[in-house]
Amino acid sequence: MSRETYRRPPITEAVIEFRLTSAIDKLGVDAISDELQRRYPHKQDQFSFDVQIDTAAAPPLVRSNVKPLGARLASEDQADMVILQENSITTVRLAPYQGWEKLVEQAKSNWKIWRKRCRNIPVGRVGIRYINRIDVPTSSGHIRVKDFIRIVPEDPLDPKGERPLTGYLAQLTARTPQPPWAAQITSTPVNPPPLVNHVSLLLDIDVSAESDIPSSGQRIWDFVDAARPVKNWIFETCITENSRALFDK
Amino acid sequence: MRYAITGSSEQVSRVISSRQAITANDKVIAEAVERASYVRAPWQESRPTRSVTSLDERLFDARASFKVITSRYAMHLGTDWRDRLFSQVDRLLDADDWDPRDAPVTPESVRTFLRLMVFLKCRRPGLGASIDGNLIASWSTQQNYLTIVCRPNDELRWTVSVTTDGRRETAAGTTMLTRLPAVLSAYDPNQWFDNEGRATT
Repeated sequence: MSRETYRRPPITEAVIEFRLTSAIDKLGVDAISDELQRRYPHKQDQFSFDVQIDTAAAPPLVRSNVKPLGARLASEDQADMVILQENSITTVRLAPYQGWEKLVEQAKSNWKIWRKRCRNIPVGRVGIRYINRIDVPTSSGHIRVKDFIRIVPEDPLDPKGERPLTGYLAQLTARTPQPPWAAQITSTPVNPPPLVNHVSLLLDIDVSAESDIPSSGQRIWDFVDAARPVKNWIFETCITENSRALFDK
Repeated sequence: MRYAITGSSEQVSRVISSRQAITANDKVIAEAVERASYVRAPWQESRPTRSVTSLDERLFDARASFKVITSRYAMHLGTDWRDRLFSQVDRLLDADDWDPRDAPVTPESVRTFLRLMVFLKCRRPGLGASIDGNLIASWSTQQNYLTIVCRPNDELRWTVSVTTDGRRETAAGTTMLTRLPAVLSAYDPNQWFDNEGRATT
């Protein structure tokens, strides 16, 4: 069952996130953002909005509070991104996925820049998230979901699972057998499907740890590398041979 | 009554665009919220409102949007195919060659274009844009030409010009994406679509 590479991996988004136990000040966030911009030239500032409308007043009274949230920086082809907030840094790779090593390499470079400005703040959470989309060809518009994904809600009205499902949302959160890693797994159809004559199923795997996290040096990367077999095991356990055939087609 | 919306800029704009948080008859409130969402933060350097964005910014947004949308289809496109497509898009949406009166290419048109490319598994077309923001895909072989305007929601406007038995024949029509192969079947569409540069690997 253990496969690590496919000819056409279904990964639409791969993410490595580090979250601090407390926030960096805005000057620090700006300095990190400026340095990251050398590698991610396209920057968009992100804001947090708090809008209150009091309709008892005439005309309605609107109060708004806009706070800087951080920045979203992207590569020239928009496939590599960093999302920087006051208490986190997220390295993102959109499709086409180029492999774990490449993703970790990007995350390491970003970490080095980020960690210079927050060395004294412990990392409180590490998250590895893979959003997969399984595109299943069909002319009828219906498939038997359990033929492709093994996380499917049970339908008591249709125990054999023959009835076409037009929508569902299945999510489970649990510790994994490899502590301290926990996982949240979500499965749902993508509506409307992005491809013509296909049904698309989302399989979102979020593996995270909130304890025993080293804060620096090679140890943090050994820790991150330990999540790789966990997320691979979850992925391979959640899909079927029919799905594997699609990724190698 | 009090309404409150809290979230990141993306979340708020999503709420506003869908108007989910605001009843339809509260137009005044909707407009007020919309204005409020564009309030410039003290440290924001540019783009205070959408209405005054420069041509450069609008074209940048269109290029970025094209590439992000492409990422949703990228697993069905060859890497080289995608890279060359991006080069075409960068050239097409370049401010130096863009008429500022024309609308930048819309995400809805890009979506139709990419769905068409994956559906046809065809060689990469030449690219153009209509004045109303639709992508135009074109193929030519010898004296035969096919042009397709990719409109939102899978609608295609196609034009064919072929030479048969020494006579010029032209045709045009509007169809939905899945009907295109059948509609073009009288003109041997594989002459345009089949090639070494396939969309999928």
